[in-house]
Amino acid sequence: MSDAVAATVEWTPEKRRAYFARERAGIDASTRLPVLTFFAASVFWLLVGTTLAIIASVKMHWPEFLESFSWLTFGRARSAHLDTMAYGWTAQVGLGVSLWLIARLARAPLRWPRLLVGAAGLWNAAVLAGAIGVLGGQMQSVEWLEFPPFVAPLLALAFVVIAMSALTTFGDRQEGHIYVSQWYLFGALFWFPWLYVVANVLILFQPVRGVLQASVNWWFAHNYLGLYLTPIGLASAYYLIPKVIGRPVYSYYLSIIGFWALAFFYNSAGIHHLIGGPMPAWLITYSIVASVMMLIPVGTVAINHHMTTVNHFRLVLYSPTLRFIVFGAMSYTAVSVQGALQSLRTVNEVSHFTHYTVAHAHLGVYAFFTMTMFGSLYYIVPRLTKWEWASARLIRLHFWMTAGGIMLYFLSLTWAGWYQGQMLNDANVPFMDIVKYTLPYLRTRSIAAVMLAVGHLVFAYLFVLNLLHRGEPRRDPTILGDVKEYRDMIGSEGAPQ
Amino acid sequence: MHAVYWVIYGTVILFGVTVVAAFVWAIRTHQFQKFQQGAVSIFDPDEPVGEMTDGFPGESGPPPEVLDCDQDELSKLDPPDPTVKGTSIRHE
Repeated sequence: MSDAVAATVEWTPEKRRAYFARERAGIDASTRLPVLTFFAASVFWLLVGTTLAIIASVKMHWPEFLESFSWLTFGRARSAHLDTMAYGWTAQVGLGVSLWLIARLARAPLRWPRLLVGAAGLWNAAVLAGAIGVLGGQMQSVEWLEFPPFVAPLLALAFVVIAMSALTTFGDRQEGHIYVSQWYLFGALFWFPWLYVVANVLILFQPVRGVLQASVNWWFAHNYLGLYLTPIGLASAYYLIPKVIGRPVYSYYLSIIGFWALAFFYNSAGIHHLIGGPMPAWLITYSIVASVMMLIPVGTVAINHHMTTVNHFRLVLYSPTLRFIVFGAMSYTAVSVQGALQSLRTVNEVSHFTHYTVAHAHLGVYAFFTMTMFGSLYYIVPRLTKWEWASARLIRLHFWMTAGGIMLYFLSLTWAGWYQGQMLNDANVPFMDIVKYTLPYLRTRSIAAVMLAVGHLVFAYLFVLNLLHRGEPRRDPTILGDVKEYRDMIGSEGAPQ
Repeated sequence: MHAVYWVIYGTVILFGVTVVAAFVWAIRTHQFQKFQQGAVSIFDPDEPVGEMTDGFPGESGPPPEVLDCDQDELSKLDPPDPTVKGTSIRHE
């Protein structure tokens, strides 16, 4: 429809609604193939990573478990778990959510969907090769960068294609305002290649000497959480919480301050992992200051999310998306405040080298990021497949298994880790006594891991059913409008004038 | 100079300049103005402020008292309608 013809249409409120519904459906359709590809691959790696996690967890209190398989020794299984979760699950589900959000917020179709599927294929081939390399003993002894060196260029190439598609889509935007989620998303898409390429060059390809490697390592590892996963999780929360409850964020002003404060402070926080190490004192102190200053962006997010939902908290009973994302948002506040406190020397001298740190890491990557991503998928997937989720009961089971599992995990290891640290600092306590003290908590962790695995299997089952359009056909509550209906209502394409 | 320093200083300059450029661009395109209008830019006439857009499959939504809200307050939060010239931030 030309502008002239569109101008003759009488744009009633119903037709105006239909126009926007059709536009949204068209944009969602443009993202369908690549985003569902990323989601399907990420769910696969979630199950692989969970299996490896259970194996590693059980070996902590039952060392003979699977002892005849050299490729499943603790060191390999644990590292393969970390990397399949980092690059197979979190990175990919984050990319899928990011691409969908970028198209939605730009009000423009996603560019190069088929090329993105190719990039997803390259990414997954690299992760598969990396995981086989780690399990086969070709692992690099660098935390979060254990994949064999040949994997890094493949991941970087795939990421460049994805980032270019996102930028081009952004260039096509019809919406003039850059919503706060877009700031976070472009931050993540911009920061990850910087972190990943620099860390690989300085550690694996042109290695710097001695302790500098450790500082680059923790600069990268901590920023993977803070400058890649965190912005994507927050972008999702800043879009979906207001969208689901139908209210704008409490203070948009604070949200913008939060983004720029994160960009300013987070980059310097990672070196607090090396407190007590042979590093320049000023570098450690600088990192501690940056870690504590992170309370500013965290405070803005906490205030915003709390005040946006405070009068509508009961809606978590009625929305799977909101339930998971509110849990994730609350966990973000908790893990961030804990992280700031943990960076203080007096706290760190107890918590360092203990299970306390493991619990903290899972509070961030799982309770915050993964739960937020589950909530996002509950919102996005039906809009892409045009099919509602098969079972409310299974969604609730997924939530309680994962929420209960991660809380049990966090509490048991936090408790065990703190007392483990105190005993490690006491030269009169025999080391074996400390090991024996932690055993019941390590068994509890394995129980928690099984709960999480049950939740993941339930989610994977729901996801496959949705892809296959199995279950009772429903239109509500996702409001799966039929594009043809909209076309019938407003004639043909063309914007309201 | 060793290649390592090129990597470190090169990326610091490249990314530092990019961040400053993004900040300046945001100011010049008025991204830091009219925050309330920005906050409601995710809503549209089909999914307006005041309407819940998610729920459990096969279940009725929340009862009215849970969604209860002051309609006058909500009307002040109507999103800018991009189809009406002059209300979209982009056209200003």
